[in-house]
Amino acid sequence: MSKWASAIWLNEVVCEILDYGGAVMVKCTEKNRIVLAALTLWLVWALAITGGCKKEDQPEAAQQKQDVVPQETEQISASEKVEVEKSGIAEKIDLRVLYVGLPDTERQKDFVDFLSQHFKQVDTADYNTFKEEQTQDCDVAIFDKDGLEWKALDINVSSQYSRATISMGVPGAFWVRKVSRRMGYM
Amino acid sequence: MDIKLERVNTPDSYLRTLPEGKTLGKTMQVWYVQKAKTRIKGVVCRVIKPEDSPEVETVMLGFAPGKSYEAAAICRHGNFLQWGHAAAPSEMTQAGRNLFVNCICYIHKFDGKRASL
Repeated sequence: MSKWASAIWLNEVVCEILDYGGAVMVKCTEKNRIVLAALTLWLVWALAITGGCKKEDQPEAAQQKQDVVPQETEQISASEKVEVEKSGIAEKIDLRVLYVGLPDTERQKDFVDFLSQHFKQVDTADYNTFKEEQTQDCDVAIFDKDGLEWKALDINVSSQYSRATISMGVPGAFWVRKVSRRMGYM
Repeated sequence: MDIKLERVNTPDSYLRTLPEGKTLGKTMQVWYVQKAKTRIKGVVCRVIKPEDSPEVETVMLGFAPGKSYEAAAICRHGNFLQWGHAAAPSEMTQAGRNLFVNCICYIHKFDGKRASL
């Protein structure tokens, strides 16, 4: 049954029901027939429009889904790029690091090999003969010995020393208590 | 950083020394900075509270049973950063190595900012 046919059938059924109301209702049913016919036409028109709109919406929704997928892909690619950069593989960090430690030891080699993978310039200084002036051409100094000795690093710096410095391990903690009264071995 | 968290029992000393307003459960999560083979794995530091001295800060707490909860494995005062872990880079975990590199970059921000005594 088509939409038009079903609308006419519906109109006739409604009118028949109204006709059961009696004589008083007869005049009304004539008007009602017109009103119902108009309402039915409007209902069919509304249904047709709504159906048409749905059909038009579907391609837009599909297009939105397609738009979302590339955005997610781009975000993943961007985060992967950041991780690569963080790992130091993509580009070395533009800092000059001075490692002050015991020369010709496995520990010194370990530090220098690792630091060289991440920083543009890595130099070494002999822990035994180190002078504060040797930090003039670096951005960050690392003061180390063996990490474990229960004794402060034997490194002297002046009260004016302001180079960014990392002190390592147990000897570093004892040493830092000498140069900083606000932190030290607990 | 790719940090692998592990659950351990909360040391009694931590529960005894908890700052006011902080709570800890019976277990807590930790992650390893180094694969230490030695008995001594490093050291933690006492840090004066930042509110007492703005140029001092705890960068990372250390897990040291017997010591207080606020013991710092990594801390900073002015241009000095104390790294409490004893291991060389090859004995650090990957996350530990990443943290070490980050600490080098971080302390560089304080180059020239001499720690006042």
